Amino acid sequence: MKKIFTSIAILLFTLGALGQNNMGTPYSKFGVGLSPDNYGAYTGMGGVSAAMRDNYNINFLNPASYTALDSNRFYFQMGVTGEYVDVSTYKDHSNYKVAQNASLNMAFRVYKKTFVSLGLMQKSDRGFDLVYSYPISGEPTMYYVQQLEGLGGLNEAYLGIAYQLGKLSLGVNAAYIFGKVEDRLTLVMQPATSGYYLKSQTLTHISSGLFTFGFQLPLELTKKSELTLGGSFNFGTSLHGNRTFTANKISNTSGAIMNVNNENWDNGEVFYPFRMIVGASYQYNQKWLFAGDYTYQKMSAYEEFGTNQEFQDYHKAAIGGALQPKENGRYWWQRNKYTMGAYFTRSQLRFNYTDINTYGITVGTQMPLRLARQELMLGVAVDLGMRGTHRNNQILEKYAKLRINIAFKELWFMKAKIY
Amino acid sequence: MRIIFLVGLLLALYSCNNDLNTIGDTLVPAEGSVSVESFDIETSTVQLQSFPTSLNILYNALESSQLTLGSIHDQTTGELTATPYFQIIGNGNSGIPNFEDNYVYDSLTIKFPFDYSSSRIIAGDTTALQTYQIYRLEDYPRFDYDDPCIYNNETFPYDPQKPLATLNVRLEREFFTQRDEWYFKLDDNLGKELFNLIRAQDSILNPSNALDFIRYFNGLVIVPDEKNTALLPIDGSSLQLRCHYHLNTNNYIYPFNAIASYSSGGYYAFTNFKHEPSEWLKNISWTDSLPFSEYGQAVIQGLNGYMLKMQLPFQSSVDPYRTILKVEIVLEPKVDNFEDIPEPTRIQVFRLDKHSRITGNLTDLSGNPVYGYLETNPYYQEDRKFKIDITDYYNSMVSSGTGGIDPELNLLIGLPGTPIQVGTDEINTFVGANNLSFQRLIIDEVPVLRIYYANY
Repeated sequence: MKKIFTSIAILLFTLGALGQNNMGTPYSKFGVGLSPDNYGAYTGMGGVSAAMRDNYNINFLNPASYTALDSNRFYFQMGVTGEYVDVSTYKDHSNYKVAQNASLNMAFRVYKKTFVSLGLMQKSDRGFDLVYSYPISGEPTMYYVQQLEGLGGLNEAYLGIAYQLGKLSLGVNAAYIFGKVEDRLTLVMQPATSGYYLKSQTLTHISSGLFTFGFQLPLELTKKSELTLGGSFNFGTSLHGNRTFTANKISNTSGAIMNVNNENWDNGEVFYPFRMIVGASYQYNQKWLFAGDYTYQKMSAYEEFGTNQEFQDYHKAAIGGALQPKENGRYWWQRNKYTMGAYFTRSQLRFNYTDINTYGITVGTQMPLRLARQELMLGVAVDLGMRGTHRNNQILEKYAKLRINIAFKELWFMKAKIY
Repeated sequence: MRIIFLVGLLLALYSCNNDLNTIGDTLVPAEGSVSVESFDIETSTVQLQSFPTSLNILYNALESSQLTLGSIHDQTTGELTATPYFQIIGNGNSGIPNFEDNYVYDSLTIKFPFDYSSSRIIAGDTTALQTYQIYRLEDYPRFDYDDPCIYNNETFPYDPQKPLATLNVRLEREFFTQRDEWYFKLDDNLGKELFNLIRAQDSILNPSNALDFIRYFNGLVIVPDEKNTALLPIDGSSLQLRCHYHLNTNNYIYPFNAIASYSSGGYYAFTNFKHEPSEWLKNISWTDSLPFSEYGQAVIQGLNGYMLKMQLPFQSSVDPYRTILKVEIVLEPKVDNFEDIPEPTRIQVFRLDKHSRITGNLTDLSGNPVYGYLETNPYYQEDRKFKIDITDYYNSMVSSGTGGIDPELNLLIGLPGTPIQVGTDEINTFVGANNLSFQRLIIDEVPVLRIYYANY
């Protein structure tokens, strides 16, 4: 019973983190928000995932990896990222702190070489609050204040299954994508002593299924070295969306509300384009691990309610390495995995002839803790990077992220067998 | 212990301050904007030629018992002469004086009714000598139950050859402080006539027989000289005719109080306003308006009844993502206004029906009257504008779509006041600052309608 309560509490916290406004970047305004460039169990290795498989972490980014898990264990994993971001333009400077990219996953074997994973995580985030002040066109002695707020994002609840066919592992995550994208606009004339101000809200609810397929193929090169090839992808998928637009005028003096627009677009579509991750990992002597990924998404095909958003294709390259001095060493520092990595993305965003790129380096550790009746892998990773640029009036964001990933094996939800 | 650790860790991350105020106006273009469009308003000057001035109406509507006295030359609007009419009644009989004792009549006076210590003149020059004469009326106003008030354009006969008294004063504090009291000394023949009534203890002196006294006496009028240069407010309820007499060395006063000081007696006190308009304002009436375009100016003025009549333009908009945030009328007062005539700091908007009848105050959605206030640019004092927010009215007129505003509907702008219905007359009349104040607003720029749109 105690464990059930604990699980519910953790689930609630995770859902709470999912429900927050989890960004503060104006770059999240576009599309369904910004998808995380680097998260998951291998954040400390630049976020590689395609060819990553081990029996400690649930690599939910590639469903084929579930077959690497222990066959008789129940896995429970949760993670969340705390982020501090310094935002600047050539003339302004600001910062924000958020918690984001929470994930909650479970996995276990269901039949011989068949494994199942299920979980809940964030797929994209939106969050910004911009305030503008401009003179009124036609009356330069007066001005108005415009506030643009954006929030929401997409979440993903998935059920994944993986099957090992010889050395080849195949998997699929059947995900239910849900969430909302909300834009709020407030226009206030100054001084606001009479007349009205305007508040509008564009709210898009998105819900649909999305299938992500994955494969992994470990190849033993020598007795001490192994190469794994992997990849995951989803086809371009139309996500079902309902959009409402409401605009109200609100009296500056009495607070009376007057509805101006109330429009609905039911059964629209948001086209989520083809995305793939391919990569390889090389493990040597149970000690060294090197991995590299390439991610591509055809964001130029991204559409919202029939309108192409004129993005460019998304590319990401990530590399990472890990050193585990001695898996079964006597001392804890010998059993630790020490990781580091780097990644580069050319995002779908391009403004004023300027690509919005992201560069990051990561460092972290994964600490296996063997307890009396269970095992725990505590992953801590630091991700330092920057997104954007000051060139051509763009925004530069320098960020420091701390990713905590905790993976439990067994005994939390299983009674010990008595022989 | 492990659970506490895990929950604590999640809480630490969860409790991050998600303050998302950020920057990015260089990146994210403004999605909305506010723009303004300006339209000239078809404006004309009209004159409210008839409005109540009797105190029964003014007191009920404005809690004022002001009568107006004086004459003034306004270089813009012309001559105005304000002549107050009022009634007095006896103060009863106490047995003193009488015919048994040897009471002796001394004089009959009326205190000059301007209280310099608590009032200011309405308009005009205080340095010039002002002349006033008092006459006895030859008839008195009959009470009309269907129309129980007296208007600005009504007069009652008196014999201009028989002034009861003449007084010359200068409307300055230094002048008034030269004596304890300034008063009209009325004709002694009238004084002795009244004194004999008092000594005879005539029943018409009882306030309960006020109407009998009015029938006998008819009332008084204070007539300003045509050369006077100022308008004064006088308290119609404190006017008092005093009969001075003595017995031996004892001096006595018998007061005849204004009937306006008694409840419901205000009907018998009113002001006649006689206006000789300037050339450009001749032939204006309520129905014959003077377009702004004809002389390039328009005027609002109290006591003369000048107001502005406006036909608002309508700009249709079919853009569904554009709405009106604010609509205002902007009036620019004439800059070189150096006369001793005050300018209002507040004006008000009234509604007219298709027949140009005042239907009521223009109000916002909350039912508050719509006023215009004078705004002055602190950096450039001559940049002054009256701005009148008519957003709710304009919204209601155009919200039906592109139909526009009925061209037969107009707005009226004048000094603050209240349209009221008097007696059985179905047409509202007007009570407000227009009835009490000589405030004047000259407009020499075309009034403008500004519509602020939110584009989103």
